[in-house]
Amino acid sequence: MSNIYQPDLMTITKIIQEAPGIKTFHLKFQDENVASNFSFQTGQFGEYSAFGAGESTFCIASSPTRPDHIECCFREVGKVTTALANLTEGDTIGFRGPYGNTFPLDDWRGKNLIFIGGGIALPPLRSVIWNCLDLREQDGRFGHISIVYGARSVQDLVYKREIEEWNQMENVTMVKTVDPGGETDDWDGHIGFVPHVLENDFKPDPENTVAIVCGPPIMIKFTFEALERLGFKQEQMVTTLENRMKCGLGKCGRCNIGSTYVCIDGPVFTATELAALPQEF
Amino acid sequence: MKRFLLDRIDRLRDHLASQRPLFTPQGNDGSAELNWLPLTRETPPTATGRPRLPTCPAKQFFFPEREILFRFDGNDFKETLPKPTPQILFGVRSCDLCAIAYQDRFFQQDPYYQARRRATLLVGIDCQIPCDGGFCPTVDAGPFVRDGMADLVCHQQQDEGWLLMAQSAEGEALLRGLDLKAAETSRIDQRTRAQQQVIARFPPATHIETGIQRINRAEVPAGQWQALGLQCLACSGCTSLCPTCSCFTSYDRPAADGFERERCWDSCLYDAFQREASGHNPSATAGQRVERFWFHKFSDEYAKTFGRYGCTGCGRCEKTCPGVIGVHSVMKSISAAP
Repeated sequence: MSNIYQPDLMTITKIIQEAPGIKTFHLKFQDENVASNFSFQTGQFGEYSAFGAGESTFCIASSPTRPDHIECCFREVGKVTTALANLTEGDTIGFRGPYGNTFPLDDWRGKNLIFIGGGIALPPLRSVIWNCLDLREQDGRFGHISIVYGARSVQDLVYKREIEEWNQMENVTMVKTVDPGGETDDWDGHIGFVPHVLENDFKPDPENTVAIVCGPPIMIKFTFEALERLGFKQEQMVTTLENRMKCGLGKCGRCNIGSTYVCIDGPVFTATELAALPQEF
Repeated sequence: MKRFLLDRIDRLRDHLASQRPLFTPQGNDGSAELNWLPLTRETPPTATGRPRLPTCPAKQFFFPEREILFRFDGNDFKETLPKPTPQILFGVRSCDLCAIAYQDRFFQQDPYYQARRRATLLVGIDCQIPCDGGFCPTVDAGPFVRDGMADLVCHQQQDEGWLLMAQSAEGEALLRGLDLKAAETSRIDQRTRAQQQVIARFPPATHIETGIQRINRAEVPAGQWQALGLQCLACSGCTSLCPTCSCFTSYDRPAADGFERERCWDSCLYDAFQREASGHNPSATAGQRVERFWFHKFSDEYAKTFGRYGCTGCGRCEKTCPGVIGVHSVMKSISAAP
């Protein structure tokens, strides 16, 4: 019986400072066997070890269509993320995963997609955004793709270079916003909270469209409400949750909402599925 | 399944102990509390009459309070999987056996749990009299040992002696040399009738039944959970002694040549159990945590996933809770609500 708690070793091949306190790691498996057997689907997450400090849970922020390495993006907040942030390129971390369910890309064929994220919640969306952009490039399987993303301030936006790249792409609408007071003199995006900008400025048409939302619980709640006012039905709204976890395997007992485990039944849920759970937001 | 007649239960105990280390509930240094301890010459005879549960269930034999998950020296992992010597737990009651079966299923993929569990042979004893505070019949967990939940089952017969049932090949093999006579089939019918008589002696548990219904119909007002939460001291007594509770946390700590990752029991009644790095806490109040705990024990949704309720009716939480919100107190409170 294999040790389900023992991570695989990965080397940090690149570190990008995305925003103050937020870093992206590019990671490669050290064992070639592990590397060649590894695969994941968009929406899945991993347990990342800073050895000596512990494990932390983040999504895989890169797209499975770009399998050269995997990426994670995290904010330096607690003991483990601080230890991770102190590592440098070439250092070793541990990885367990991939865990959890995936975004239902097959259900989205032929549909328009709107990705809506706030703050540090762009990384899980970035995986599925690139996944969908790459697949659309291959065979045109999705319609129009829109991205609505906001952060507290301009400097807090993550993936700034990619936001500009999406902004330049045809068939992609990039709507960026910062909270009031977070703008700079040369800010060319919106000013306002994500749900407000979504509802009052962007006003997406719900016809044949799926909205994929990720953010802090309060943002998910207000964004779902805004989408419903715009005419979206619950089955057209998808989110991914990041409750606190220790194991990722349904054993440590802390991520469950009612009897639903975010780690094994999620992290991806439709609004219909969320509505059936005890209301924790 | 083979059935035998046994004159004295301790003849079986001694016979098994001569083959493998054997643990059985007994007092420690004159303590009135029963603990799982190795059989010695000082161990008193197996008690009959009104059963008393050991203070702790048997879960720590398989899922210890602390254990090392691996060691890492910066380059290589060192396996820390236990290599336990075969052992016997003698005198496990039906409530605790149901909990072991529950955790066997829950920890099916856990190599640490399984290594210890597979090295352990279980000998169950039917409870002939309700224990103090127990309500196993209400939650389908006793009082007699369920089929397949122990390797050997001992049933004290009304006329004389014991009916001994071997429920696994390994259990049966350990009986070799005992020179037992096969029991007649009628003994099984007698046992079934005896269980009905024991069940009839349990005090009414309508508060448990009504409480379960109210939890599943979401009929307990949040204010009542908040009121019960005021009595929770977050001591983790209930979760430590509950035979099915298994939440854990893990952390790293320095060790010779690197570090080790350890896991230890955690408790959903602690305020930081679900608290996220952002400060967001899905169960921020004691009332929410108390509600979450009892939902885990009595929800039909969980029962679907895990094959039974997370409560096996042992009543340990009631005995240990300093805030008087163990199972009887909580279920009386919520079943009495308007």
